[in-house]
Amino acid sequence: MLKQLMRTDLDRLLQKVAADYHLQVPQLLTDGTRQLVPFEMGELSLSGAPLQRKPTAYFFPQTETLLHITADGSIELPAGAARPLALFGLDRTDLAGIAFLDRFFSAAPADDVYQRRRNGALLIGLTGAAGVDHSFLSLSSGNCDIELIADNECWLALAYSERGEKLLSRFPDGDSEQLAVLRKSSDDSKLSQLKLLQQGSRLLQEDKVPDEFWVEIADRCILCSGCNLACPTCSCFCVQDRRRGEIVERSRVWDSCQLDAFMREASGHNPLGTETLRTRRRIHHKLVADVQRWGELGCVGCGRCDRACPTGIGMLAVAEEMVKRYGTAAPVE
Amino acid sequence: MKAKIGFFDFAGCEGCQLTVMNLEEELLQVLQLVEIVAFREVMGGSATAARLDIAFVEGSICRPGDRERLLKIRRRSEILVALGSCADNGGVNALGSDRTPEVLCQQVYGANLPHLYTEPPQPLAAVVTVDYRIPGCPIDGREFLATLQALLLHQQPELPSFSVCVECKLAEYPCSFDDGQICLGPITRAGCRAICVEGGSYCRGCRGLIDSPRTSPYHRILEEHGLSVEEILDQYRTFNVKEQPS
Ligand code: SF4
Ligand code: SF4
Ligand code: SF4
Ligand code: SF4
Ligand code: SF4
Repeated sequence: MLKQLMRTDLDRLLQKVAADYHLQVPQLLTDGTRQLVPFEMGELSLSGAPLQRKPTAYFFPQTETLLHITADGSIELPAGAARPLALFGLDRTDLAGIAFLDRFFSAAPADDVYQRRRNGALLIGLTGAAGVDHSFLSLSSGNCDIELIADNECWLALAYSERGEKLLSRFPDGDSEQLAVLRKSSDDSKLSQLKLLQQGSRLLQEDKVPDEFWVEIADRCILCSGCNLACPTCSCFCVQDRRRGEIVERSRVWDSCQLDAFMREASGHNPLGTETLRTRRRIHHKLVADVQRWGELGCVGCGRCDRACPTGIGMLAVAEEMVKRYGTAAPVE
Repeated sequence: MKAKIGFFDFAGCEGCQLTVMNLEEELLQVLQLVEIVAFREVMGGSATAARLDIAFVEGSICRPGDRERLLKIRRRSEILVALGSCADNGGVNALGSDRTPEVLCQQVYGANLPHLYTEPPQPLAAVVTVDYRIPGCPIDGREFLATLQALLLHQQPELPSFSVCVECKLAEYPCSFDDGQICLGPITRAGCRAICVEGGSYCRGCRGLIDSPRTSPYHRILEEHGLSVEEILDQYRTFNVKEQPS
């Protein structure tokens, strides 16, 4: 289904969504960042920098109560939200990040806590001329309910699910040739970061990156964990039990493989006991282990870790360095 | 029998004891579990109980008689906890330890006042064995309660092993370095939820160094921001004494 929306149509669509969902929309905040905020709290931001906060945090939040154990030993699960979430304004990488976690948390044994938030949620992508100064953002791969592709004061709207089709059904049809033109300029193989990541991944799989490289990169890490905390595909967490009066509360909190305690065993032994091993792990997980497990990169190229890292060794910077030093153009030792 | 605990103070601003007092509601619950036998800031008189289960000691050691008094407290206490930055690592008092008392008096009061002379302020650990510590200037009330709870349950109190940056990144505060402002977060122990960065300032390191600070990459960032080695050390010294005698 292909539709075309003018600005008033877009507002109508969002109002329609907000009637049934807890809708979050992008807004430009006073600190200069673009973030998702509850609908109708202010001016929509329909183009600009990537969303500051990873949208996967809506489904896998920083801390989350898993269960309560009451005084008589019975277990209570937290109640689900009254209305499902709808997120509007997600770009290609945001949607790819959510799709990545969906697959991760639904692989056996499925994570019911994640599903509790994710099931029933509606995703609306925003691509096309929606970047900084209306620069072009690549189209999604259809991993959402609705995709709005910005083009010249209007939006082409594609529905990828039944719910999406229902929401779009009353809007006028779009022009399929206009869509074809947009698709052409959005060829994924042209994305330089994706190319870089794939090249980096190949170098690692072919074992062309020597240990000294990791020593050097690790020596620039201050262990702040920002890269992992900002990453939409990082899924590691630890579990903590707390007592509040008579009730024991079990919750989970994001963890980071850059921290020394990440894998430290009760015996004191630590399989990831050096910064070098931890740095290598951070990159290897996304560029090698995930490729082996899922058949695709675990990095969606969103650039958040590069923005978060105070010392310039985020994923894209490291991939670039690997390709520069050990890529085919350079002599391989 | 209720555990007997005491609060003692040496050179400091008493802010850490005040933080304990400000725990009003929780303090009433705490009093059901412990007997406070010394707490000059709250109750008059001097300590009566001969033996103490836990002594919380605030302040740094610098005046005549401080050492003896601290040694006495140590002898009567099963467990001794350094309360706050001054007791833990010298605190702001230690700022003056890079110059002589004469110079310090001249700079602060514009006159030579020998009766104000002190020795260079030292953390408690320079004089006695410190069993546990609650860092911060001032301490975090919840960390005090968590430490007390652990000790009453005969468990090891735990401090975060990671840096302030981790809490700062979790809260997604903009990094001071992006504004060209240096910050001690990367090497300072977490636990304060990066409140200074939250308040628009930067971390000055009041909670002391983490166990294995990543000094080499940290110094590289500082150098990139144009700081000399001496300026870097000056930053550390705000809350941490230059060197500890063995
Ligand atoms: S660019 Fe960084 S933050 Fe984004 S997905 Fe890749 S590793 Fe994660
Ligand atoms: S191992 Fe590290 S890089 Fe991989 S998901 Fe966990 S925190 Fe992220
Ligand atoms: S963001 Fe950079 S400095 Fe911080 S832990 Fe990650 S790699 Fe290290
Ligand atoms: S502001 Fe300070 S504490 Fe926060 S990330 Fe930057 S260096 Fe670390
Ligand atoms: S941010 Fe730094 S200076 Fe401020 S309270 Fe925390 S440790 Fe102390």
